Amino acid sequence: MPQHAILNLVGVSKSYRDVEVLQPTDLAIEDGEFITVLGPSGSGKTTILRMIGGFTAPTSGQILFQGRDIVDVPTFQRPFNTVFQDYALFPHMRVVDNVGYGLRVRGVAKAEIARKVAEVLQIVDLGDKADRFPNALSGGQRQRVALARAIICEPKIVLLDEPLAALDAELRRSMQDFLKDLQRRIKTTFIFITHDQQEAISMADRIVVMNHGKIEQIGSPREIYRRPGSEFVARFFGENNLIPGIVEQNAAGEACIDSALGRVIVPRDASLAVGSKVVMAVRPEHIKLVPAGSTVSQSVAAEVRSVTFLGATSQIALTIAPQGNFAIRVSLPTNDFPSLSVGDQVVAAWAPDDLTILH
Amino acid sequence: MIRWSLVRLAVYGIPTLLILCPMGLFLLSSFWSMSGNKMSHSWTLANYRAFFANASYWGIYLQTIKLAGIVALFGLVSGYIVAYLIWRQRGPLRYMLLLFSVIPLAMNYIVKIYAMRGILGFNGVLNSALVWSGLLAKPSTMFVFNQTAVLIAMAVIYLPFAILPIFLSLERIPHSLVEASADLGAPPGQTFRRVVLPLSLPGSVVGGLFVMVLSLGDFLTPQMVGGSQGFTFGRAIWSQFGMAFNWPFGAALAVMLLLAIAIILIAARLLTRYRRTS
Amino acid sequence: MNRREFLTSTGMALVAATGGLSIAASVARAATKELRVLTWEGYADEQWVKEFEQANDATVKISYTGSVDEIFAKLLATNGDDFDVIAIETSSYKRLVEQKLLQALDLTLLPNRANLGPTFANVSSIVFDGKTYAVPFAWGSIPLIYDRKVFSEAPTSWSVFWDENYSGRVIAMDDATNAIVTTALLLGIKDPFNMSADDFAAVKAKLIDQKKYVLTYYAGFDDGVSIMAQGGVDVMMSMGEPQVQMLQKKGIDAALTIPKEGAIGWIDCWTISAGARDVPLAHKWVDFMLDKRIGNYISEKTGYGNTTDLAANEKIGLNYADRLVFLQAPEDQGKRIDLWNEVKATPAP
Repeated sequence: MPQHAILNLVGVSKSYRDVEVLQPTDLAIEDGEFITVLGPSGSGKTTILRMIGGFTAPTSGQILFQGRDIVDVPTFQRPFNTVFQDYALFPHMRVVDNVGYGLRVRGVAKAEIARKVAEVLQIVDLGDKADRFPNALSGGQRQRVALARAIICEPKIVLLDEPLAALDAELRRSMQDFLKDLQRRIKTTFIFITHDQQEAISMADRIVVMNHGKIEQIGSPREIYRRPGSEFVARFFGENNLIPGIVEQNAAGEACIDSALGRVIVPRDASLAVGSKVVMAVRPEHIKLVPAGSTVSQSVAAEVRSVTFLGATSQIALTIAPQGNFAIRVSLPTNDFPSLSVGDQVVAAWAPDDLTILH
Repeated sequence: MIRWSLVRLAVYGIPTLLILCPMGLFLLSSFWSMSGNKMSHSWTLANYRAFFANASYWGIYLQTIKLAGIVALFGLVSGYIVAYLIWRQRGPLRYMLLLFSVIPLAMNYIVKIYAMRGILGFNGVLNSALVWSGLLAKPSTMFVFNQTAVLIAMAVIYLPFAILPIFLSLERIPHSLVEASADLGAPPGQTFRRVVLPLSLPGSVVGGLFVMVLSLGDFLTPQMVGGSQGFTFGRAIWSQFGMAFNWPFGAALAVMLLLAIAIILIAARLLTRYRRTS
Repeated sequence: MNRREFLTSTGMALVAATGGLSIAASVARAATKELRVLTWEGYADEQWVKEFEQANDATVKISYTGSVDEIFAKLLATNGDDFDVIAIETSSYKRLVEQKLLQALDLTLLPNRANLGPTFANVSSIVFDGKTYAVPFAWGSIPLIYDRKVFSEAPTSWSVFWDENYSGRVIAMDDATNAIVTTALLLGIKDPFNMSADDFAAVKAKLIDQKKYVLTYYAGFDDGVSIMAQGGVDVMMSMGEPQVQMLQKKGIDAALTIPKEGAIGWIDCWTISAGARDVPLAHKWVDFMLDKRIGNYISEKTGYGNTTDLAANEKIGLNYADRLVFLQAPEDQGKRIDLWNEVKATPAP
């Protein structure tokens, strides 16, 4: 257990009757990091957040905050604040009263509340909307009120439950930047739940990928992008070509795998037993096209099946010549191959390092 | 097309006619009068003058409104407590309790009054229990045939009518608001006072007003458990129809009662609108 | 007039609104004549209807009623065209005759009138301008009912309702006519149906004074029985004789008495509607109802008195017809209702 962790989940699980929505899970969250929990619906990500917030009790395990188990501490005594998916603004209170709520229930002096509310509203750029009721605000404004309300008490951790899901794409982008910036400014731990991998990549220091009630992989966005740890992560996290194969040989610094792309060489990996089936992932942008006839060590002859123009890049679908029915996708800068068309014979090539073996 | 508009006319028109026609007739006949044993169809305000001239009629009118108001307050407070306790439950238990609390709605009203008298009466359950426990030496008539008995009986009979709208107004509060309040540091008591109560109050008051309207028109319960203090305006109206055969005067009294109910309903409507805009 | 107005009075209004219960008691054979009867349950039972139908080759269609106002409403609606014969109580005749809803009887067509007992042969409240409009058929009273466990001897006066000794242990009916007339009898007012302003004031004061002693005003026939049966009640101003039996069934040692001031009596009489279609057949029915066998049947079956077979009355204890003050149309019913409402609206002294 790292010493600088602010929050530690130790063997935390949750079951409803016989249905286990979260398998026993360990997770350490570091002080001041922006951590994103990413997964499809039903993956258990919201359950984790609700257990940290104290809205749901874990079936087993410990939640250690600064080393102390807080499982039995009621929500209102936990030093965390939440931004709810539906914002959960109090409809009968004006913006000022919504934002000042946390201070008011703690009995903070009125003048102090007024000062802090003004300050926080300044931060979220809502100084002029203080006297509005929530239903007179736009979605983005409500979002910022919810945020202001959650940070005014200076919580140790801010929990965000898919807070941007209801916003349109443009607003979402600017809120992402705003949130990231805010987190840096107030130096507070953010735990951000989302099902949008793009959002996760653009904001998080670390991403926790979840599926079927368990953690699939934890890592920086770059790590997870480059080295997906499982087939699920490879599929869920951006686009990947998944290539099945059988380990032929594994010795002397490299392994040899017989696959749909022919014999491919990957760095030696002690866990690859000869004769076992594996799946390899390679990102579309990591596959290069070289002219037919060129000989590169890691390559395969292919035929262009379709070309989709996407602006700066184009997406090319290829069928591999020996198999005929195995298709891969390739993403290329449009300008590199201005005249590529369906039926062209090409050679697809890759670097061994760009192949990831999925276990 | 014509057939459909005819159908629509029937669907909307017939119920409207069925409600409006008798009410219109009422209003009309309240401006007629009796000459001897016959109804005279010439216009007069005499019935309304008679109402305001006779202190016992408008006195009982005000008293009945006051009684209904107190019953409504009773219903509001106890209905709120019951509805809140049900609302706090989770899962199937919650809806089972709700069902139990509204089952009395399916019971005959007269049966309920008799049951209440069976509880409060001289040899009733309450007296028997008190005598058995030694708190009373002999059965007492203090629980029945007085104003308190009317209040208790009406509050009990109309309680389900209050519980349902109050429960619904609690149910309309998103659970996330309660969680948000706790999340922001409010203990359960503060969450109730600052969030749950203010958000459910308008709907609950409407439930209370609903009870008030019901008790305004109820003359049987006061009559049967109120003893010599059980005279209400509804009974006065009844006496004009069933006993005095003075339908125009009875109609005028009924219009006055309708007026009170209309004012209450308008108040309820203003309250719900307030809730929507705020 | 309220003896049948059970707690269902509200429900009855509904029945009235939906047209009441029309029961054709006829057998399915083609009869040339039809008689339409509006009456109370128990007054035209099947065996007698069949006998009448066979004797007169007629069909009898019976509609039952639940209250006096329902009868008025039905007669007023079509000026009596819907019914041939009606059974209604004496105090209603003045209104019915004034509104020309009835026709005078042809006494020559009613030989059975000879069967009427002396008390019933000359009832003034059904005679207008020298013409007789109805024949008495069944009768009863508003007696005082008491608990024999409390009274070793029957109370002799209505003043027991103002007696400190029974304070909170007496119940009275919520009915203007019964309350006012009975109180007038107690006060010795000469004509309880034509009272002076002073009489009104005296009755009102007396009734307000009574509020100290009364446990409750009960709402109807069954309601009175249920309250007295629950205990704590010694005396009631009743709604009629059958309450005694009902109380006895519930274990109360109840008995009735006619106090020395007298008591209210009522007589239901058969009369013919102004709109009767077959007037001779209607007379036949009225005459048939004065058959002594029917008189006997009424007493035995309903517990009310009949007007023809006096021995049958004696047998069930209804031997006090001569001590009753039979109901008449009052001087001003509206004023009486107002008085009673004012009494009820005034707090107990």
